[in-house]
Amino acid sequence: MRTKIPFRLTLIALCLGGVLDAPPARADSATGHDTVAGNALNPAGVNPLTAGQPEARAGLMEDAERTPTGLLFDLPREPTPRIRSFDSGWQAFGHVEFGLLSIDGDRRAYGFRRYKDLDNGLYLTNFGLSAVAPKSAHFFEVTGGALTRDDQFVALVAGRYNDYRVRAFYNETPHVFTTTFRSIYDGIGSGNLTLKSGLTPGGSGSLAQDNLDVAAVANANAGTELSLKRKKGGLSLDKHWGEQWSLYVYGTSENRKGARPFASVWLAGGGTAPTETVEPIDYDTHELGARVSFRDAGQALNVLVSASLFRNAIDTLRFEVPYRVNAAVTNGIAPGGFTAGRFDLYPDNDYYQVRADYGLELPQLWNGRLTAVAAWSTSRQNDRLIPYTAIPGVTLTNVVGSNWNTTDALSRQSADARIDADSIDLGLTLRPLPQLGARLSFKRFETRNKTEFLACNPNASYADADPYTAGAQPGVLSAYGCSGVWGRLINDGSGSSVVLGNTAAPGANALANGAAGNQVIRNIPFDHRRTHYGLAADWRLAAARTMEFGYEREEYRRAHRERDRTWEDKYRVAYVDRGLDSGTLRIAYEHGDRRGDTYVTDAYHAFVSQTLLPLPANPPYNGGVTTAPNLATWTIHMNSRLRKHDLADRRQDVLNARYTHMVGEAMDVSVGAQYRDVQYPSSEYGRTGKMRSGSYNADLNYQPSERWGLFGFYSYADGKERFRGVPNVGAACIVGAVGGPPTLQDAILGCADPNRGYVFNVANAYSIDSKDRNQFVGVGARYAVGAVRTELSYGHAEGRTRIRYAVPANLAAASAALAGDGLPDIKTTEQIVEGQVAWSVSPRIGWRLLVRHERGRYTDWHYAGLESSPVVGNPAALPVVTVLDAGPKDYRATTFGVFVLLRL
Amino acid sequence: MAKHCLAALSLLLLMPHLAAAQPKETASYVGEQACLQCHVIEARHFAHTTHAHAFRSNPRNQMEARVCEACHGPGSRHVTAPTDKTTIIGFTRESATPVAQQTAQCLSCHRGEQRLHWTGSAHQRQDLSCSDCHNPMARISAQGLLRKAALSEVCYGCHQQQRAEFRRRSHMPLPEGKMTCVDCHNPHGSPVRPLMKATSVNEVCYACHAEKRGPFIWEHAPVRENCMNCHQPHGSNHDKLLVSARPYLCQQCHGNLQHPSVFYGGHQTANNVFGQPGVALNSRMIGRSCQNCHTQIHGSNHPAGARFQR
Repeated sequence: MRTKIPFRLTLIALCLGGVLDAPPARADSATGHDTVAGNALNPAGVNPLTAGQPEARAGLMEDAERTPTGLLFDLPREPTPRIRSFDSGWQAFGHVEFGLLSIDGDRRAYGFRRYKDLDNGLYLTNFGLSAVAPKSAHFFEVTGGALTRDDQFVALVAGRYNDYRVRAFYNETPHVFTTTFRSIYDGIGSGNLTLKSGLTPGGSGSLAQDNLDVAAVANANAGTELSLKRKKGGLSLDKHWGEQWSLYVYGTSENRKGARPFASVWLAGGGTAPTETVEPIDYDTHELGARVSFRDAGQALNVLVSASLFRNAIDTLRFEVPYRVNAAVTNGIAPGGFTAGRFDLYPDNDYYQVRADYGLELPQLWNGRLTAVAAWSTSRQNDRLIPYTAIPGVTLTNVVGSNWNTTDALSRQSADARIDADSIDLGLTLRPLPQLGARLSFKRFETRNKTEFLACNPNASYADADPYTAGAQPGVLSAYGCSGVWGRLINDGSGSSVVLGNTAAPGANALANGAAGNQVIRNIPFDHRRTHYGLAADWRLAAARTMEFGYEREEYRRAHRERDRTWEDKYRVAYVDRGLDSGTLRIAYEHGDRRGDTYVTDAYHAFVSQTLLPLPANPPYNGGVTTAPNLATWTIHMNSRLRKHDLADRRQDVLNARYTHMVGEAMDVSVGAQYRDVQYPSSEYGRTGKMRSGSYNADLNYQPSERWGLFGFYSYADGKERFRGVPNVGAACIVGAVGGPPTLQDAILGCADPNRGYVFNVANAYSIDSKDRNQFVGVGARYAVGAVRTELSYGHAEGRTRIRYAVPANLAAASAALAGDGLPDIKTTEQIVEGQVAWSVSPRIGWRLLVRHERGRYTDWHYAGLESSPVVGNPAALPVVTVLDAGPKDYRATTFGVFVLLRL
Repeated sequence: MAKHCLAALSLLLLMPHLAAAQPKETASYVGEQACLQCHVIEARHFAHTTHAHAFRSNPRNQMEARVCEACHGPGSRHVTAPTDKTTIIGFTRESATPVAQQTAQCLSCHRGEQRLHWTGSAHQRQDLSCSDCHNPMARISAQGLLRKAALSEVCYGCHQQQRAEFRRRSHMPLPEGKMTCVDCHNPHGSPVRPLMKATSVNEVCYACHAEKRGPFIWEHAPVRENCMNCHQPHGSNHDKLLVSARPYLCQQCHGNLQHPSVFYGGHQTANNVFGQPGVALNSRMIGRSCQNCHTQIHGSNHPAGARFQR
């Protein structure tokens, strides 16, 4: 007789257990990740019971049975012929498959290597050992493959059936970003990128020579691979107490190490000399969690406590610049003085979550069931902040102080950033009649961003802090509890976005030297609250035929966005018919209509310099101004008729249909389609017009016998979207200027409006049409003759993105002619043909031959023209851009494998 | 109103009744050995499943100890009328057992835990049975008693579109055996659409991309709210799983003065020759496009990083 453990006592004990340093884990379908231990040659993982075995008859009935939907169950493989029994009562079986791999072709290519590690040499394809002790109910299994390779994996599970289970795993995943990088740096993978020999930090003084040198060094180091490797291990424990209580405790630890393409830029505004760099990756992520579950016939409860701790071993990235960049706006640095820049890389962060899920059967309430979820989480980081620049001596006009290379220039020394989130979900399902079901739901998810950073240098001051009064007015600007100089020194001091105030002599334009209205002075603590209400009903027309009707309303409240509130009404109707003689039909249609309150283009007033200073209108200030000021930075955040698509009014129709057709006794055919039509009815710019996408799919599966079978599938998807934009013509919003706004009110309302034509002009609007088209076809067959089993498969995937545009009317004629009406298609074609022959020589030994040919072809205009040199632009000036990654290249590679399988 | 109610009630009464295919109460348990008299082949496969091991070696209760009948119900009527589909609980298309009863049979042991939200979930509403994905009669998959060897292949049976998406130029490593659909989705039910395994989409993403969780002192609003604003979850024709080509992706939201609102076209790509008429080489049309400068697009912790450049 089992002793029932009181609910409350167990709950407390297990919650306490959850916060202890728990062992690390493999996931289940609700908690955690790492749900497969496999790799490209073992995509399904390893099943030691059936390794190398042919298909077998499934049961008494000669024909394969079907799922309730009508799809054929896969035939099981024949269980291993070698199951050994030991005196101890254990029964065990196992295998190891190993052999030789040979790769012919472009085995280092990005397309081939992306997430796998296949190379010449000995290869341990996979192994498995499984044991069970029927008397004691203990079991043990270890599987793995590709040991020593970058995509190796090992999984272990042991325990006692219906009692406890311990799982452990170790998995490596390579992630190749590029194999065509042309490095100009030493120290890749570290936090200090130094220029290779032949290049001069800060440039040589000759821009032409620098360009030549960079190209030469880069090309001499072509073919550098940038990649990272994920190494992850974990341990978990499932423990059951009787039929009601269970505990799931897990922990994982992951290290990511490597490097990926990155970039850098100098100066301000549109940026100067953007140059590709390399970001070092040395991340550790540790996850711990514990979930206690209770269930009986009437209720179920899960309580989860989890933590995820991210650590970046490389806090900053220093990189040397091979070009001579000269400061804009800032002073104090001689030509060639900007030799290196510095990034603050991803900070360490901590994440904690508590979540409780509860389900309650309510048989007395129309056979109801109530579910409730309450979750709270917090994300935090308190990384030490670094100074604006590492270069001493940077000064600014009108600013007293040159502390920008120290953290004295910061309003705080560490980030102290925090976002909390909580969510509540309530669901009630009712079945008042056998034919009628209803579902009510309420959900709310809310974030609370508690991060505050002021771009205020509290240890600097203005030589003239009052731009509205003639003469020097030494002092500071005060706001949000900080008094000092506001704004940011940017890009290591080569540019600035600092509120500089009046530096001109009385009588000149008080704001002419930099007091713009759009300089960022505070972080924006974005927050949102999502509330969802749902009501649905299903009506069972027959035993296996159901109609469903649903209505949902989703409301967003956002802080500091262009719209405070949006709401979307969704209507859904679905039909499921499993009662057809020939198959199953599932079809659903959903219509969504999103609207919102007033769209305010400039929602960031409180976070930019216009909140520190009054609008420099003429009047009200009287600092001897004789010319009207340019109000562009004060009145234009962006084109006021653009609607950001995540906030815009939207109508959406989605149709989903799937039909599974049973053909005879041994075949099924499935067809499926999804069609989506999205419109942004209130958007004149941004995503506009109709955005359509469709996906049409067909599958065929034929399993006449365990001896042979066929499969095939075809998927076609297309989509199109339109984006409309308008460039500004000049950047002056000056009251009274020719072609400008006649009044201050016109300036405020009209300078951002293309229909007014002051700054943006609707006549210059352009549009970009992007069409995607993808196809994926696959066919395969298996055939067994005696002890020989063959498999052949082919997959062909191709994708194409075609971009066509209508150029703006004011584009220079020569450029318009060259631009044409579109860009070359972005194309990807990947093909894999694979054949294998497996031969069981004896119950103990088998052979397998594998041939796999892969081919990839890539065309992408982003990388067109970069083959000969990474340096783009005027050979005698700072480059337009230096792109060291030459992009993905076509490849062909054939993998030959000869393996022997030994059953233990 | 009363007329309407009466009409509705009449309609209900006229509705076809649910097929009550459950075994009659008169059936009795016959024991596993009786089943094995006929189902020799099934038994050979079943012997290696978790259910067989658990039920035979350490049953939690009397019902589990009945092994076959723990799931299929009492078998006496099936023994006497083996071809009558109504005599036993079945889990296949061919059986006469309603899906709701099939599912209830599984949930009688597997309720709660990760299946707590099954009722009302998308898959439940689509009238899916457990055996649409699982085959407890044989160990076909390495884990989970699935109906196919690979978990993702099970999902592709209905979600064919996603199988194709995972073959696009940039994709999650499912074809390479390093992920499965269940890394992000809980097919057994979740209150978060589409069957997400966390309380928001971003929390799912952060599980593997923890560095992007921040928070950062400089945040990018659409990034913080939903990764899917810019990324496709399964696969994309574009680099980094992006939903469309840069710079146009960025320009869909950024129509600011100067370079964000400028038209970018074929006269600006790197295969043009500098100095030729009409050529206006531009970094936004080359390589990493906008991220040639706005590198820290997911958020920056650099005091100068409001524009995500450091």
